[in-house]
This record gives sequence, structure tokens and C-alpha cells, in this order.
Amino acid sequence: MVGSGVTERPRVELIGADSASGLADLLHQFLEQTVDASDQKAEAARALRGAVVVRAAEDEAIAVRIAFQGDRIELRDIGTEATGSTPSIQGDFLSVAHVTSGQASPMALVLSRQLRVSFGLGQLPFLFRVLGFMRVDDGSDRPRRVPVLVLVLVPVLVLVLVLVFFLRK
Amino acid sequence: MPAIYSDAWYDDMKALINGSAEFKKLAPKQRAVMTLEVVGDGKSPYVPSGAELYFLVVLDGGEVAEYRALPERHDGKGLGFRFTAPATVWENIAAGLLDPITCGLRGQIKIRGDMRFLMQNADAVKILVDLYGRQGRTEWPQGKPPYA
Repeated sequence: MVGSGVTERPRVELIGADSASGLADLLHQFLEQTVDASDQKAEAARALRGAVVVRAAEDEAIAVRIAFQGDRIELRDIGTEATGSTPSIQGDFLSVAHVTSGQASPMALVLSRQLRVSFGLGQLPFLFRVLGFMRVDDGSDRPRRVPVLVLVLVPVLVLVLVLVFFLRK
Repeated sequence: MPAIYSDAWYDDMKALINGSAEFKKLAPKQRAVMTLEVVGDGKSPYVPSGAELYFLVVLDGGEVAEYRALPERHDGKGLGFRFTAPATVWENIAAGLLDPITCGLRGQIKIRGDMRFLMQNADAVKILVDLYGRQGRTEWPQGKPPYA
């Protein structure tokens, strides 16, 4: 926060913008617009530290690494490059759009295999925070209260995800 | 059967989209203005190399209010989205040979606009582009894609 009470927006930068994939270009615009949407979004972005890879289900050669570095969010195409220990999310355009617009729960899409996620257990809170930041709100800038149902369901869903993670091995 | 880029073709596309009950159900109720830019690439027989065609699509109240050619490039005022691609890409999509979503993800179609709105209305966008690609009603008087 700066003295004026307005949250400083993190800079969103697309590396290799001239030859970027459409997915990288779309995510770049989306993230820029998201950090500009409200002080809460800008604050949430500044608090994130880590990277995530988003891979298109329509074409596995299209993958974008998003690195959250506090005052900067950096995107770059990685194509078929191995993601290493970076958590990744793979889904088709509609599934990704449904998650970011809040029309579908990421957990439901993971369980129905419309979204494929890969992560270390310790990265789970970061992934949740990234998805929460990317989720399109209704335009309201007011702080929102967390419904009781969400408070009850989140631990249950985390448990389900952990079970899925271990059963998959 | 209207010829591609003819006035009748624009009218036919508008009628096709407005005839879709699925689109009507999912289309945004607020006004959304978009333009499609078709760039001549030396392969399409319909758009000379270096020339550009522009068309305007206006969604309002859950249906297509306007779908027509523009005499020149939209100046951007009040514009929600700009979709730009080589003529061959648009024509391959209209012929059902390319998937428009994959073209967008690959960067063959450049998209500029409100991505948050796009994400919120992705189902309607999908129906719109599927109707465009699967209509099979377009006439190709100078030859149909794929071009040699």
C-alpha cells in the first residue's frame, strides 16, 4: 500500500510478446485487467510468490508459465518444456473460463478430469490463492464475507484432493 | 446459399445465430460490440493481399443486433473486442477446417478486449464460433479452402 491508500498494481509482463502464443497473450491481458479490477485483486496479486504453468488441453504444445513475484507478474511461453516442480493446470478453454468466472469449482472439474492438476502438497495453498486471485468477481470492490458452507466444505475438498493425489500414484 | 462476405451472407449468419435457442439462453444480456478483421494474406481469393475486410457484430439483449460489413477499420470507440486474423484462417474456420478456439490459443487469431467478460461468457462465445464454423451454408464462388 502507498501513502494515498491506493494499492500499487503489480506490473504484468509478457516475455517475448512479439512471438507469444494466443494463450499467453490472453492470460497477459486477463491478468492485467484482473490486477486493475480492484484494490483487493492488486493486493492479492502482490501477496503471491511462486509460479504456475497453464497448459492448453486443445494443444499440449501451448503452455504458459506465470511467475508471481510480488510487484511483478511475469508470463512466458514454455511450449513442451518440462515444468519440473512447478505446479501445473491443464484444461480446455471452457473449463479454464468456468473456473476463472466462478461458474464451476476447480475441484469438481479435477474430479471429472476436465482439469488436470499437478502439484506438490505444499503448493496446494498457493494454487488455491492463485485460483482465488484469478477468479472474476462481480465487480464489487467490497470485502466479501466467506460463507459458512465454504468454510465447512474447503477442508473436506482438500481431503478429497489429497486422496485423489495419493490414489493416482 | 450466400457467397462469403456478401450482404446476404452477413444476414444469413445473423439469422443463424439468432435462431439458436442455446445461444439465446447463454448470450450476455448486456451490449457487447466486436469487430472481426480479415487480413488479405495472398492465399485467399476473396481478400487481396494487403487488403483488409472488417465486419461488426453487436450483441444486445441476448441476440445479435447487428452483423454487417464495415467500410473501414473500427476506430475503437465503444468497442469491446477486436479479433484479427489472416483471411485464410477465417475462411478455413468458416469451412469447418480449423477450430477457432485452438486458433485463438495458438495466436493465429489475435484477440484484444475485455478478457474477464470473455471468460464470463465463454459458453456463448463457444456457441458463436461453433455456429460460424459448422454452418456449412457458405458458398465459395472462387473456390473453397483449403487453398493450394
